[in-house]
Amino acid sequence: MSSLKNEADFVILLNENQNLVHKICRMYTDSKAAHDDLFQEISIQLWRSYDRFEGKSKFSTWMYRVGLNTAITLYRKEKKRIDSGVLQDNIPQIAVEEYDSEIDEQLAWLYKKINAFSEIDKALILLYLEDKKYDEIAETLGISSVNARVKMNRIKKRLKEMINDRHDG
Amino acid sequence: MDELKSLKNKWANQKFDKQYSAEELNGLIQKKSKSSIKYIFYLSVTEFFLYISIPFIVPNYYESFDYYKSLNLYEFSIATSVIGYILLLYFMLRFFRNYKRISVTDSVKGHLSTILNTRRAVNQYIYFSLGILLVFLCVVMYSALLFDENLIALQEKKDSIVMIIFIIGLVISLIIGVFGLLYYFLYGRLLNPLKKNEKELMNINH
Repeated sequence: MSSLKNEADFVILLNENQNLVHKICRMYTDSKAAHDDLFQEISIQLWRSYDRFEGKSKFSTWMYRVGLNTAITLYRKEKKRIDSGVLQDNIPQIAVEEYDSEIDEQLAWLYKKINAFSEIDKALILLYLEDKKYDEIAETLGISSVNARVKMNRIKKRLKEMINDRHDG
Repeated sequence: MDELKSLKNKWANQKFDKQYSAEELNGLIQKKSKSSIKYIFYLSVTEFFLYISIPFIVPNYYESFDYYKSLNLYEFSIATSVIGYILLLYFMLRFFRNYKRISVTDSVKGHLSTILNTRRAVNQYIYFSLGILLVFLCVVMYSALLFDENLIALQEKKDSIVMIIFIIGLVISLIIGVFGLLYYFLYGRLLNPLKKNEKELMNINH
């Protein structure tokens, strides 16, 4: 296990970068409760792999890999968490509204749109919006740089189309 | 065009309502992980140990060897058991070796593949075991029809041979059906999304 100094260093690092973890959680979940759950799981996985990170790879690559791996593979949504209640029909809707009210209207629209994408496409969109270089995208996802570039161009095109559709509609 | 840029800008500067304090984060990382890998690991280990414990669970397991002897199948039954345990050992080693390789710091594709390969070792073991069991059952049944006096007596009544084959077929299909359903519910829900993601990443690379 890591020393206390390590733990303190890690918490500082996580604190500084918590917005990135929040972005991943917001993309991969559809309620506040699930968001908080995923945030906790990513934090745990980051802390557990902190020893392996130190100095060995680029900080952001490590963070994206752990965050995305947790969201895509380790974490399965507990969809039935509110189902046992009697107010089944009302609760989920309130949760979603509450979720969307807190951020910029355009971003809320973007998150809503992203929700319909596949888990892998979500990862590609995240890395695109984060302005990552093709090499880092390739390294994070385990694809070749050439394919990362092709994929990024497609994602960019789809986002542009989405924006245009929004104005037309 | 510029709108995409402005969206990216907003994305970079977005603020979230919930900002954890250092103390809260410290508390979060002490909590227990809910990772689904853990469940896959426990289930797989349970399966292996269930197979190891068959001689202790199945009633009259050892006496059955006497019966095989009466059918001239003693060496065959011992050989099948030995092959069964060699396979078990091989697949368990493969399973544990792959499990140790699972690392959350791997690339997304690498991570998905190691998880799925770990599980594949267990699945392949089950297919091999069921295959051996099926061959073994067929050989035993064929010999029983030739050497088991009770069965020979039964065969003299015309319809009973059809009935015997029908019942045996039914039992085998039931066993396979129950296994299939169990696997669908136990692993399908956990692993199908992973398979889908792995395939999607593979497609990007082709």
